Amino acid sequence: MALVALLVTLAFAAVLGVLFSRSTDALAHAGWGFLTGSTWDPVAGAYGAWPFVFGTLFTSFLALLLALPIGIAVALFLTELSPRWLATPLGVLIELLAGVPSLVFGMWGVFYLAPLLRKPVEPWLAKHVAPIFHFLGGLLMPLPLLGPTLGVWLDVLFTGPKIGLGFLLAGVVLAIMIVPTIVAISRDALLAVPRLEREAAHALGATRWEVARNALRSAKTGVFAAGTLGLGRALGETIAVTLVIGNVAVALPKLFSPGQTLASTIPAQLPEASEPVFVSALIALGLVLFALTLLVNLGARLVIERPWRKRA
Amino acid sequence: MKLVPLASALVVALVLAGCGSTSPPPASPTSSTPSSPAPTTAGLKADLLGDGSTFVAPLMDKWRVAFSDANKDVKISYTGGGSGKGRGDITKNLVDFAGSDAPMSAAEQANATDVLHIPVAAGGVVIAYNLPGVTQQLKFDSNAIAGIFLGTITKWDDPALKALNPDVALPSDDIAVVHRSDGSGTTATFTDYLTKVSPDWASKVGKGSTVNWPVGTGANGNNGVGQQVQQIPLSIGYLGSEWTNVSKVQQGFVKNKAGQFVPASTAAVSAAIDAALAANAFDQDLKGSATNQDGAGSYPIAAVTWVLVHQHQTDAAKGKALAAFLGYVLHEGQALNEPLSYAKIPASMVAKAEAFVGSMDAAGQPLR
Repeated sequence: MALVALLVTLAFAAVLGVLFSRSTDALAHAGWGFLTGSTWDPVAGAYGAWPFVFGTLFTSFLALLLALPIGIAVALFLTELSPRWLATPLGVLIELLAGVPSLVFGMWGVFYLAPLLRKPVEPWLAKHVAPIFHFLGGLLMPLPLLGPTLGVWLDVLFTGPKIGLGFLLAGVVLAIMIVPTIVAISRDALLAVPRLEREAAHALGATRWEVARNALRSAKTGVFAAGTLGLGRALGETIAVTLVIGNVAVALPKLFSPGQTLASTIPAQLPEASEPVFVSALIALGLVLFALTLLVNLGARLVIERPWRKRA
Repeated sequence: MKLVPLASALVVALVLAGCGSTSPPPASPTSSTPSSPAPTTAGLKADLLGDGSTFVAPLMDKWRVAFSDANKDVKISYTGGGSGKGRGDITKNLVDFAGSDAPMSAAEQANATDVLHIPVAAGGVVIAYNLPGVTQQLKFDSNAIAGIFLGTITKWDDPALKALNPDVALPSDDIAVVHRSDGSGTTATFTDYLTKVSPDWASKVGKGSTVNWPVGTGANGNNGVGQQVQQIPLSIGYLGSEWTNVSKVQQGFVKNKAGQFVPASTAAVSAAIDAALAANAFDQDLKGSATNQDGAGSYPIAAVTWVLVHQHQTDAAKGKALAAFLGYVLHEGQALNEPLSYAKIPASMVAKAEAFVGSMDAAGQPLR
């Protein structure tokens, strides 16, 4: 048993070791500019990965924003509100959806959702919602410290070339992909809330909705874990994202603009990369993605477990 | 209850099976048997492994099947992976032969001194676009193409495009540019052409398999570009010529150095390679660029694709099989090029390549 645990640790260390050793060339070449630079130009030898980091974070958090409320709502429905005869088959169906290969979602996004976003949705949003955010952005810009950055971000949120492919489509496709994960784990967390608690709430005169809210509060940590796992899947998603995101290095949160992520760049450019620095830069991207996922998971664990709070 | 997981597993399996292929289907529906069978050489027995360029993959598949049919004990497999991977793998001796759309650079050749470049096919890069309502084929010249892909020409009714197409009602909308998101030999050829014809492009972008595109969205693979151009109205992109019969996109004429507007037909590509040979664009190792050549019928964005092999083979049996396979590819196999929309290698080039294959040996002993 201990040996197996050791093997897992060794595998982790091996992956980290290879990533580190093969990316030193590029990191020495670019320095800290690797993370902060915005130009990815293999011909000129400039490797700045910030737009990819931004794209990864933007699409993943957008997906979480869209998927978390829906996932929790479905989980609540399945455990608290739906009749027994509906809950079981619906649960099975959702778990099957979790097993659909991501390439399928990518293709569906390209052929079905992209034209839908290009014609009715994005122009409508640009016409009706963009002015509101433009106004809000204008309000924030004069404020000190983060004001200018946040102001610009809010201002450009609903702008972009509107070709269908881009951050919004990637966010929506990723959201659809992570909803089953969030539903499955949230459902388990909600089912783990003891029956006595629910019955006590009913006994005290709570309505069905209040009982459900109470159960959700008890299952908070589990739901948070569901969100983290969903986010983790979204961060690493490669093929579905590369089909729908447009593959242009953009570092502003323009929903209608094409963008790029860490995970989509590596398999796209690695086969044709022949200069050693270029290959090293791509492996460094992998290292950055690894570090990013690690940080997100660590952050989530800290929030769940709060080791700084002394346990009595 | 058991039926639901079974049915869904079946659906998933079917979808996965359909997702495998990334190469274009054959152009001619009737050609399932090669029109030019390979010669049978007695005593050949080997398992050959190749990888590299995906541009040549559909043609390579036809060649290796035809050769194995005639020489039953020779098994040849070719996986793609990209020209860069092919060049790297042949240097590390991980494969017996590699396909590459670009010749090895000086640095790469220094690590692989005895690797020979055998040209096997040629193709062109097509300018594909999607203009609903425009039925005439558009004409482009080097300034127009460079301007569009640099982002200096942003609208379809720009004066430069209108001057080239005076009889066409060009819309006043923005041009949506599509390029490759992945590294590719097609990109290498296209940017090589642009670097030659546009000093602006040469200084701002340069040439390579992966470049920093000033404008446009990226699609994955030639079929990805084809799909994006097909789906997004008012878009323009570049495609390898072997894909144009699959994607239903409009193709433009490109003005060559001699001032003629030429389509990317196999004849025009062959003319370009001939012109390149005549102009000594290929060195004695048969490496070189065939873009922007002279000649009234030459297509300006054309390139040769090579098979890389080691001159000094370590295994005599493999060496013999490899030499025989390359001999087939250079002669009888060329008949398979044009039906698949690749151009043939000109005869003078074949003669030189034949000499290279003849120079291969194993442990000092000649193979043929």
